Amino acid sequence: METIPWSNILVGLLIRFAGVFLVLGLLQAGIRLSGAITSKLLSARGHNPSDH
Amino acid sequence: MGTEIVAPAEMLSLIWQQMGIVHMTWRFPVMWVIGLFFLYLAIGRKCEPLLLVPIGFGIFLVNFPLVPLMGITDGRLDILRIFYHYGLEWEVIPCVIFLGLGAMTDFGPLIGNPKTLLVGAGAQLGVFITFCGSIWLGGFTLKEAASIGIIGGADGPTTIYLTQKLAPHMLGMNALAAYSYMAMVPIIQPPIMRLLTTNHERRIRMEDTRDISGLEKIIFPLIAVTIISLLVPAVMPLMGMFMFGNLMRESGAVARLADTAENSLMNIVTIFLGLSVGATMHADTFLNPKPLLVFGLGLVAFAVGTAGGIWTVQLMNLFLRPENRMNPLIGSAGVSAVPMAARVSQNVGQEYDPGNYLLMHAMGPNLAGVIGTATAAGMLISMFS
Repeated sequence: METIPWSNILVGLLIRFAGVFLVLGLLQAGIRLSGAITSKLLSARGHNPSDH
Repeated sequence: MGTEIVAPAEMLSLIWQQMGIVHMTWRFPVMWVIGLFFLYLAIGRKCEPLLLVPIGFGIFLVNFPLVPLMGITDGRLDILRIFYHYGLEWEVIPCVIFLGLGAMTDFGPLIGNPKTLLVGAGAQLGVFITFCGSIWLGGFTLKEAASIGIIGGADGPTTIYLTQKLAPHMLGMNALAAYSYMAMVPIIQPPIMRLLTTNHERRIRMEDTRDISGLEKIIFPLIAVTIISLLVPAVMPLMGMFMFGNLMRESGAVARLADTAENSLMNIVTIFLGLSVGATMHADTFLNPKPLLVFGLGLVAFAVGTAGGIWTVQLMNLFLRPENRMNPLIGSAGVSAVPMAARVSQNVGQEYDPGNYLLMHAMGPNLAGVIGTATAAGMLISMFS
């Protein structure tokens, strides 16, 4: 009977679960960065974000 | 012309043999009951009727003997098999559904409170736990286990996409399990939410999110495509279409296209999707222990995913200033099931504080759950490629 390499599977899954956090964490950073840049751009042009 | 004259008795026998009633077994009425149950959920209980009506009727339709709907007749694919083959096996429908979803999604609540993205990540716990459980308890292969685990994301198109890539023979049962649990979100989630939260936590009121500029909403799909393409390219057929649909919506420049994507096109593919998924549930393939095990494990995945979202909020609250703390009830919306899961957060929250409006706050994790489930799917697909 074939033995299941549990340690490999668990480590692989743990890394991938962490990978989901990494991707969404980076997306969060991207949103914050774009928010900061656009608010500066819009305030320089005298716009209020809620106008859009 | 190939027509032979036969004796009347033989002719009657032939006609008799070509009648479905001769080939009836107990399995068919059992499937009728299952199909009718889905129709009852959709029509009687208004649970995801847009999906469960075609799914339920699809199940009912194919479970009659000899009906030429899901097989190959005279060397040609039958009608529902054509929908299934080109829609699901070619992965067209999940991607088009994501296009429509993108066109109807307002990412404002997510952009306004981007930390909720982490809640969407935490809610993928069920996917990974059930992956292990499927191998350990069910004896499934690694690829089959991955396709069962993704049911926990409560995202039908992503489940179909991943299953078609890794375990296409399980497409019907996995899709049905995913859509069933999406329909049963209001039944499954509230007890878990009450079990894992305190009375005090359920009453937490969250601050309104900041105003989002139109420019930020236009930039968001571009950022998302860049990050996800660079890190998880395997899932870009879904995410690319999702973000394209959203860009059409937010740009305001192609209102006709956005309108088509979110209405006409979405409605058309939903019909084909529902009928195709329902049609895969033939008595011969469904009535054995394996699909029942898939349904059981899918429920575990969904429940653990719900818990994972709640636990992530509770964990994040430990590090947040009191005025920024989140209500853990929005964590359950970290599974996809948009917008049903967010509505459940709102309803459960109002049971304990009628003046607490959690809906828009819960939309953040809800949308994050869609991206999170697709990301988890991409991770699992890349594991085997």
